[in-house]
Amino acid sequence: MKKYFFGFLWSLFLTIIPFILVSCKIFPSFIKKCIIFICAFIQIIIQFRYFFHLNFSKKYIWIIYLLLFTGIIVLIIVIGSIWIMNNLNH
Amino acid sequence: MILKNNFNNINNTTSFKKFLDIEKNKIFGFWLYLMSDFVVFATIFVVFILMFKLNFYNILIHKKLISLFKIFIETFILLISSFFCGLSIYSSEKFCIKKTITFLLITIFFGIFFIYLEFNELLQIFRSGFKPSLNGFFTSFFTLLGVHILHVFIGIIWAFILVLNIFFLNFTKKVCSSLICFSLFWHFLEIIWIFIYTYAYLFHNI
Repeated sequence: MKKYFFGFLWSLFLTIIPFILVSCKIFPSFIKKCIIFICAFIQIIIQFRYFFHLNFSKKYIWIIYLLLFTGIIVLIIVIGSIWIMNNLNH
Repeated sequence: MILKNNFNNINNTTSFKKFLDIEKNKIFGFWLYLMSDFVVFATIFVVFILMFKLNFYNILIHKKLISLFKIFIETFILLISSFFCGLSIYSSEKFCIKKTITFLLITIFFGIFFIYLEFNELLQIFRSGFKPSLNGFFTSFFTLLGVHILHVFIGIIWAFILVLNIFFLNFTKKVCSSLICFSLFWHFLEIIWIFIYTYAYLFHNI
């Protein structure tokens, strides 16, 4: 029960930060993009840990393998497409 | 007493965790489906990323058709509905029918609210003349958000059928595994929404 509250509050916090960052104009834009990306990444990991109850125990290890495999496929698709479209000779 | 009669091979001394061990093939199979769905979303997302180079997104911001506040409210609503979905799983572990149905209904309510806000926003953009048939950027924009809304809509239908199942059939083996699969699906949609709003709304509003 506590885990759900913990995960919810952390996700809310990590959601509010990027939205506030976007509306204020202090930092240079590259740092803002990095912080937003890191916030999203941490939020995804927190949601996997506290909402899906995933950890590296033997019970869930095959699901972790699935996630890793699908992650590799998705990275190939995404990075490959962007790289190819960037290197077309117009 | 009602709960005892509806369990196949499970008596009251067996805990919910042991039940999960029996059903772990179904849950793993559902994780496989979620991963295939993730690949589908990733391909639509890649097209969306590539279409940003056409620089049509600035028109949407310029005409004030996208407001960051609405996106924040939508994200908050999806997060709350995920939280209540998790609470309904927690109360189904204790085999508490009233609490599970209440939390599932709250999840459905917030899901409907999310679809209403998101659909309204897309409708506004559509009515301003930016149709999906206009150019490639708007096609990919409407496809990405539309597929996500469709998934949420089907999730809401599934949750409603689950509410009816729990109300009329109590916690049978099928209903319990269906509930767990629904919560996996709902949290998965939340994660896809994190990808979508981070890239589409935050990266380019700086």
